[in-house]
Amino acid sequence: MKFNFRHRIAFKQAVIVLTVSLLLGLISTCVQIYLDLKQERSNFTAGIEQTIALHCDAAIEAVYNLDPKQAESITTVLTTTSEIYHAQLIDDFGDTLAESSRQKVQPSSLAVVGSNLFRFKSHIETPLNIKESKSGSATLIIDLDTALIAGNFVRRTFNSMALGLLYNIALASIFLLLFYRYLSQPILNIAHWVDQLGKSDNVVAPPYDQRDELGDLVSSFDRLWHERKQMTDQLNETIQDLSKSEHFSRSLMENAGDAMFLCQSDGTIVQVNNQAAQSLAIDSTELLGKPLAHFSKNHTNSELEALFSSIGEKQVSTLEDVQINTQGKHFPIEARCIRMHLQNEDYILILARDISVRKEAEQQIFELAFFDTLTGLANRRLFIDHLNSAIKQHQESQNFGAVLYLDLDRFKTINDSLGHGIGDAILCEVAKRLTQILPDTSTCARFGGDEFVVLLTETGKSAELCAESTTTTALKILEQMTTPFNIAGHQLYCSTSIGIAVFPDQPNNSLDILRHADTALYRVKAQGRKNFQFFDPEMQSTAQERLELEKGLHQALKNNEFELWYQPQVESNDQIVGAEALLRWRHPEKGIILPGSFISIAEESGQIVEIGNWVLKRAIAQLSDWHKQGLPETFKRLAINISPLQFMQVDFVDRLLEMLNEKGIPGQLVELEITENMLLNNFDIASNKMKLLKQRGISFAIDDFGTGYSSLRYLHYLPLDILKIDRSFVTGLRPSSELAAIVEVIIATADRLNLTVIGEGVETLSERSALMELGCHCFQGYLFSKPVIPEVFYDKLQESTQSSLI
Amino acid sequence: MFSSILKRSVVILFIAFIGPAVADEKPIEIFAIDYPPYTIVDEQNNLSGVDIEVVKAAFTKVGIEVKFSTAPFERINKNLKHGYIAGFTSCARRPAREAYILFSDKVSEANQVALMAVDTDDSKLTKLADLSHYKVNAVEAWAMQKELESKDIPHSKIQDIDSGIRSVVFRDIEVFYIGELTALYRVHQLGLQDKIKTKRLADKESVNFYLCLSKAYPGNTQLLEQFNTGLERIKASGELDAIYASYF
Repeated sequence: MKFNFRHRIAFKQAVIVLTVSLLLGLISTCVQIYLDLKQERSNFTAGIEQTIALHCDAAIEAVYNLDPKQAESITTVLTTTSEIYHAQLIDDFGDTLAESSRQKVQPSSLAVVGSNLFRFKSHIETPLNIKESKSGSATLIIDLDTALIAGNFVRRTFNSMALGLLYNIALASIFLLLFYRYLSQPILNIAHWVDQLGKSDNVVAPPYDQRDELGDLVSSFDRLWHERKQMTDQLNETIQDLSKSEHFSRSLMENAGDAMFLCQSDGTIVQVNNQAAQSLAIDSTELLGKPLAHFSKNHTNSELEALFSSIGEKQVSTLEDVQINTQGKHFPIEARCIRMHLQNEDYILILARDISVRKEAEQQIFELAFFDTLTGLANRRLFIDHLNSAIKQHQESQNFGAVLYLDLDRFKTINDSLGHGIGDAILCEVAKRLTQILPDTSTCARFGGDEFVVLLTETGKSAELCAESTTTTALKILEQMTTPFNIAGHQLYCSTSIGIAVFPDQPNNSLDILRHADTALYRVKAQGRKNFQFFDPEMQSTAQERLELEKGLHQALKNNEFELWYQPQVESNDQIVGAEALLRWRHPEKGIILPGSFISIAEESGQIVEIGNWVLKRAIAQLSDWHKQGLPETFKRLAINISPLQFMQVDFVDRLLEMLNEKGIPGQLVELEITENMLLNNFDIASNKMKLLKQRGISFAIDDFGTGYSSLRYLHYLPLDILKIDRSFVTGLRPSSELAAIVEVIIATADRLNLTVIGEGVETLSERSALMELGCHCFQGYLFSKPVIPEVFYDKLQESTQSSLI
Repeated sequence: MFSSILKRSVVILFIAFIGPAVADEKPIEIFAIDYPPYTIVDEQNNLSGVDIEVVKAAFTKVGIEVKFSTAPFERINKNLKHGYIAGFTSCARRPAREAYILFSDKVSEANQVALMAVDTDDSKLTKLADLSHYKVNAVEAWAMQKELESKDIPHSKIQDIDSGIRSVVFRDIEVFYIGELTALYRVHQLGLQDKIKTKRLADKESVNFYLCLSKAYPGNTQLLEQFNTGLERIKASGELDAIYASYF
């Protein structure tokens, strides 16, 4: 503590005392001087008047006697007075009777100053009444030595001020000493004592024990200090304990294996431990203030906030998430969230544990439990689980599914001869090929050995559709297996046999279905392997038939087994105005097969395009023949069915127009029948193509109108000409029936759009009359003619023309 | 001569007709000092004395009322100079006084004598200069003192006549230079006539005393004439002598 006397209280007080006393002294001195001045003037004047009065009688006498000596003695006496330097006695005749003077005191600088202050009448004339004077009064004149008087006064004043100053300085000095001795020094000692108290742990005795204010202060402070010290010691011990505890807690937190995030309710991170920073690969300080959701893959900030708000007090909420660290690494965590109330605020403590290993283990367990370790395919358990779910689902949806049980032919031979390694490699390759060709919704499993099982779901609404679909899949599998396997330099051929069971054709469980499939498989093996077999004989025959048809379709085009038959379209007057070309397959063994039996197969196999082109080509050629032979004017057009796949071929328009050009057939004679579904699926493309063809006069008919979605939109926007009412509306049609109301609406709509309406499937006269009654005047159906070969149709046409002429 | 007669006639007429009129209004005030026996001032300031009587008689003779007052001589003298008072009685005639005083006809006379104790040896004292051989005093400021002073005759100054008389009787003063009548009057009053002797000095003539009127005082010229007239009349009538006789 640097001692600076200027900063001492004693010094300050002394300065204050000195200043105040000087100021007060100055003021009081000034007042005193002023009063002294007045008093001095009064006293002086009184003194002078007294002096004059003392000599007045003598002066009067001297004047009365005109005694110069007596007068001179008076003036001399007067001038001996220090204040009077000149005295003159003038008689009543105006003559100077006596006059005395002495040298004036040389005025000092003080006298000059004083003369300005001490102003008084220095020239005094006192009239003297002379008895019985005839001439008036005499005059005693005295002149005062102002310099002397003022000098004296100023000297006294100066002395008084100097003494006052000395008094004040002495007083201030005494105060300074007293203050220093009795105030500053004790305070310094006390301050030093207080300083020592702060620095030293030892108790230092109070430096002041007087019974005065300082003593009270010191004793109070000493008592307070001891109380506080005691409290501080206790507090320090508590803080130390807390520090240890905090350090302990902090160590626990920092060394915890789990990442710890202390977040606000809005998900903002306010505290983390080392593990949190390490796991997120970021400095812990950078983490603070960031939203926890910033590192979450599965949760947004608002989701986390909502989650946090749902956590109650003393409730632990556990969630799983995937965190993304700053290096982009994803890792799963299990987070336990606890709501904490700290310092009047709610916080959420999140203990996040990296469960990558656990997840991997779980995955491994899951895979071990549900997957085949060799191929990665599902195992029996998972397959049965899926199958059970599928059975339940399909029972509800009335859909069919199928289970395919596969067995590799000759696998045991390969395994035994080439070793398990090769065998396992083949199994893996088989699994790979299966997963490549099977739909995503399917489940492929390996039951062990060379047994693979495939679950196909949603295979069709009916058993037939299911059989067809499943057959297709089975054929694909069989085909895949025809490709040799290249394993370790060996080119190995390993065909497969497939047993198929369909569900839920009857109430059965998964094991029954598997057993059925297995049974079917053994049936295949018994029949010579490399094939598939349905457990249900009907299904098997359906599938067989389908296979034969598909196989036959390939041959049909080659062997020219397709034919086009023509069904007349007649008007109300039974005049044939057109015909619809209908495909017939003259199977060498089964005879005539209708399109309903093979068109779906052709569409699935893609043969429909080729068949469609044949139909188109054949129809136009036929039309050309008829055109050459001569078509009646009443014959307006030949309707040709176009499949959606065919119509959407890129070269369809060019191909058709080329055919027409080649044959020289006007487009007006051609009518293309399309379905509603084709338009709905490819509206823009279909619209453009239709417009191009329309330019050549080709007309368009909507086939089977009313069976699809029957969107009225395309009726307006597409260049349609004919609307064919589906046979389902016509069969059994009666006036005023519900069907009639629908048909009436269809006809009214067609009329409004200037479309020609043709009723299909008209088989009875009542149906015809009902249609006519509703406004349909063009018909097609067995009532008028079945589809017939071209020659017959042409004859009918001719007949129709002639009958109309008659 | 005629003019003189005429002049006197006019004065007489003036006195006869104007004088009483003036006298009726205000008495003439004449100042005097204590100079026994010519003028005597008692403790009540009542004035008497030979000259007082004479002056009074003279004025009375011409019908003028007069009153007498006293004042210090220098005051009286200065008043005369300035014309503040009418006159003073009695004073000797000196050149310096001519300028401001109108001197009347002689009222009385005085001889300066050496007043001595009867046992004083005055054999060597015949002339004024002889006083140098004696211890002499004189009343300060009086004519005799100034004479001694002018003649450089050593002397001491006293303040009054009585002191001078006593000084020669009881002190070591040998000669008190003073007017003869004055001294004798006081000696009688003091009862010391047996112890005192006087001696006239051969070279000292008698000194005449006059009524002195201020030239500056208005009407004094006529007053002087009137006084001289009255003085002549009392001289002529013997009243003057009678007055002197009553004092000596």
